[in-house]
Amino acid sequence: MIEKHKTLDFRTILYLNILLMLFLIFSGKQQVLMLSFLVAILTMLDIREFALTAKLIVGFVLLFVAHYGLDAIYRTIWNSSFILLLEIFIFLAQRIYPFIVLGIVLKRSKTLGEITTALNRLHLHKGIILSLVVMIRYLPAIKDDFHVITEAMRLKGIPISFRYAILHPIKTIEYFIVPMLFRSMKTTEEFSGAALVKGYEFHGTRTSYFDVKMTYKDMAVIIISTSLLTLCAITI
Amino acid sequence: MIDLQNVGFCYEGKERKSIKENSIFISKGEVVVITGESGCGKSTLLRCINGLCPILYEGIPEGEIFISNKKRSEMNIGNISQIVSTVFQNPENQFFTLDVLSDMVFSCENFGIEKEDIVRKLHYVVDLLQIEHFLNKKFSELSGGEKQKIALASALMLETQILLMDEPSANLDYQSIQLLRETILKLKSIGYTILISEHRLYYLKDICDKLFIMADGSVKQRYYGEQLVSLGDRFLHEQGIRGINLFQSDMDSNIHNKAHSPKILLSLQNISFAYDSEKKLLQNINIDIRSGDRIALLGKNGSGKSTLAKIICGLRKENNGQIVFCEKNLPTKNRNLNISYVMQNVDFQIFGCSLYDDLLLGNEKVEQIDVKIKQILAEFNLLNLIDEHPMTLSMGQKQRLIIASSYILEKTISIFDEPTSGLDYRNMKSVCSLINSFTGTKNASIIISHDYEFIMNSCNRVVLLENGRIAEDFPLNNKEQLTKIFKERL
Repeated sequence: MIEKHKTLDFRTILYLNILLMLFLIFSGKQQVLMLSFLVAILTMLDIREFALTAKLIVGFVLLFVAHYGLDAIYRTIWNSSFILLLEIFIFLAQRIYPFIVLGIVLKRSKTLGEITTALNRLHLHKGIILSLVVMIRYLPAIKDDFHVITEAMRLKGIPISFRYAILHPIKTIEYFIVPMLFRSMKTTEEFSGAALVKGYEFHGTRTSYFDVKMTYKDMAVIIISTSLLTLCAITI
Repeated sequence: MIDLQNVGFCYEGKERKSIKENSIFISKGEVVVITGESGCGKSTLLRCINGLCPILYEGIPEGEIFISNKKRSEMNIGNISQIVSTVFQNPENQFFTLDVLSDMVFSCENFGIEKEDIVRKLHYVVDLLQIEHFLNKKFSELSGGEKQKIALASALMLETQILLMDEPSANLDYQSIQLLRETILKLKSIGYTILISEHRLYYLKDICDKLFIMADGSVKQRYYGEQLVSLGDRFLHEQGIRGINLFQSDMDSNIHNKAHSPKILLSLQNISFAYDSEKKLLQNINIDIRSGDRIALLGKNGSGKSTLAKIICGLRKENNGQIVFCEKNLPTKNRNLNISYVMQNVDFQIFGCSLYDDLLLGNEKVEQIDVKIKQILAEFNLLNLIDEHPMTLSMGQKQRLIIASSYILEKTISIFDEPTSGLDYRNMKSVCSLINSFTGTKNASIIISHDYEFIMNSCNRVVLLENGRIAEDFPLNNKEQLTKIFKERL
């Protein structure tokens, strides 16, 4: 049978998400941003995706280069609001980047079974857990459905363009939403049936095949990242 | 093992009972198949046994069901699920997770089974179905048949002795159905009691001990053991049911290309296509599509059938080659004006709030459109539904609506992607009539299908795609060549 390499627990990654979000909202310091990225990239190293880690580091460095490059252009060559707009875009991208890294870590290292067990241990309401699980499970399917609908629109001769969407917003939404809703109704019905026969409503304590527990590594990551980010935000 | 006594069910809000007065007894170790036309109540009967009726699908139940001598009405769905497992039609929507291993253990985790016991069950099921090589795979890497096998494996994890299967072959190709057949055979040999609701009977004829035919919500006919072998296809067809002897299906002699001097409508010349630069999906495809052609486009999963169809109707652009229509190169963006495409899931292709609106959409500039829409709806027996919402139509009516739309623009070629998956014989014949009426002697149809019986009833030419190339292209004059392709190359 398959033995998985023990990576950081889902709850640790969830905690890091909240921690980074708070610090990146309340502190504008570049050092906090860099430390946030460092924390995120360490979780990536923990799942042993070294090639991807290298690519993500290059991406982050490029965003920094773009940020300072645009700043230099604005101050010396071209004093335009367009450059400012691009700078805002880069600023936002830099702040979203650590969350993308954490998202990839989750996607690559955690199964939905592990996530369900971890959420159960947080004593969240079953309804909330089921909503989260269904959302994660069906995001890829929604993307596929969206693609099929755009193809069907093209076959029907319905224009798919930014201009059409601006001029006819209600119609555009209708064309996308109506088939998607009917599709979702059927999917939800089938999914609920499968959930019931697989014991989702069973009133007992859920067990887990996978090792879902907080280890010393998790505690160390939580304590060190919280302390360092706090220190960084207060002192530097 | 399962004892149904006068079982009936009426869905909430419906005046008519979906099933009524059903009394069936299934002994331990039997494989029982329930068949009948769409809407006859097969799925409802299974839902009554596994408890989804009335727990998920609300309504009024009648009669009593005993499962392993326990009254079903006194059990909750959790208790029922521990003695009865269910496999549904669509494998996609019965997986909770995105990878095989975590889905297989999911139900055991929900029922609070200890890890050591889960590991033991996992070993048992993996050995039984020989699926160890799938364990670390994601569902996106599996074929339809493999997914259905994993769905079965997940159901077996609870070690119930009873297995219900609701049209398990509906979305599968020929080889995947053979795989399913082998799996069911194996489960039967070790004593599982299996109840299958199914349209396709051919793969079950040597396995099933009892065949029940349902009509209007009740089991009307019962056949046991030896009797099954003597059942003729004609007898089943008369009742709207698929044949039991697949490769004995007769060809429809009316569908041979009757165009007096078939002219080339569309010519695919050296079409090549690749999603990535390393592997070409299609290479130098050359086909002349003539008036009166009803082409069965065959090939294994992933052989590029759908991609080729999408290139023909302009949803994908070829990397090399060209498509010639009426002796002129037909650019990608104009292809949908001449070629229609009926998707496997027609729900995605309906955009209007009424049948009239749906046909008007995209055709606003056509002269006398109002008269034309009414004429065409009358031709397709849909005029009385002109103001209805298209989503209230049956699948066959939706297919007709999409073809009606292509009539307005006088499209000459229509592509159908798996139009008969999950259809009974009567509805399959309706699709054959639709293709027949569209094609006639002036137009042409291309049909992607894994349905042998349907191909024999609707096509007059076969094109086989293999390794990105056209491996066979022949008129369907006799069934031997097609049978050989189904058995050896699909």
